[in-house]
Amino acid sequence: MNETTADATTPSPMEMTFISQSSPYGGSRAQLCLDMVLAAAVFDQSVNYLFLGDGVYQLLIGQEGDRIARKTLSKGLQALELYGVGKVVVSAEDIAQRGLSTGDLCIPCEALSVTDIKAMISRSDAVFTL
Amino acid sequence: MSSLHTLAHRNAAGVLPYVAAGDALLLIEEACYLLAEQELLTTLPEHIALYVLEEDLIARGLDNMALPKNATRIDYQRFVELCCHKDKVINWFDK
Repeated sequence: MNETTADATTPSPMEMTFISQSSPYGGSRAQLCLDMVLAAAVFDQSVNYLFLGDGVYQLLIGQEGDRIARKTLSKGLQALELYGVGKVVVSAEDIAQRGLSTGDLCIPCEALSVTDIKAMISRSDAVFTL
Repeated sequence: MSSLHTLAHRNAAGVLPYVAAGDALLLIEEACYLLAEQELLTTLPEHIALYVLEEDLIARGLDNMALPKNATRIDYQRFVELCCHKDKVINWFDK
């Protein structure tokens, strides 16, 4: 593969899309997906963090995981900006279906249509679903 | 870019919207049962190649089920070949 940058030792970042589809406290998948996203971001990859289906519940404001002896997932999500994960996306259809809007979410998110999400998945170099 | 989507559960409605034209969809594990439901076929977008893993069909006693015309049975070797021929693989596992 040809390097587009002058520094051939630094490969160009991959566009990676992480799809989180699980509610925050039903299992460990939501936390695992966040861990993967942060790890990818540490290695300077171009990360899209996409919440689909019940995954959008991870973004709700006002979570108190300590009430059920769990880490509060939404607190971890606050770290995304610090790690340079700028592209946080929710399915507009899936939040509407759950009676939510982007104003109910704990971090700034882009609400995209199914068509736009499909295009994002299609152009990504790698896609992980959890 | 062309992707191989592996679907391992029966919630096809949550996955099909994200399968693009030119992609391939491979039914594995519990998704084999979708072939018995007409709904999958009517909602499958055009230009999507549909495959099913025969090991999972046989394991479930679905070997003699009439497959829809647009579905192709494949073995593990073809599965590996498909993975290699596509730009990426997207695994849709059960939640």
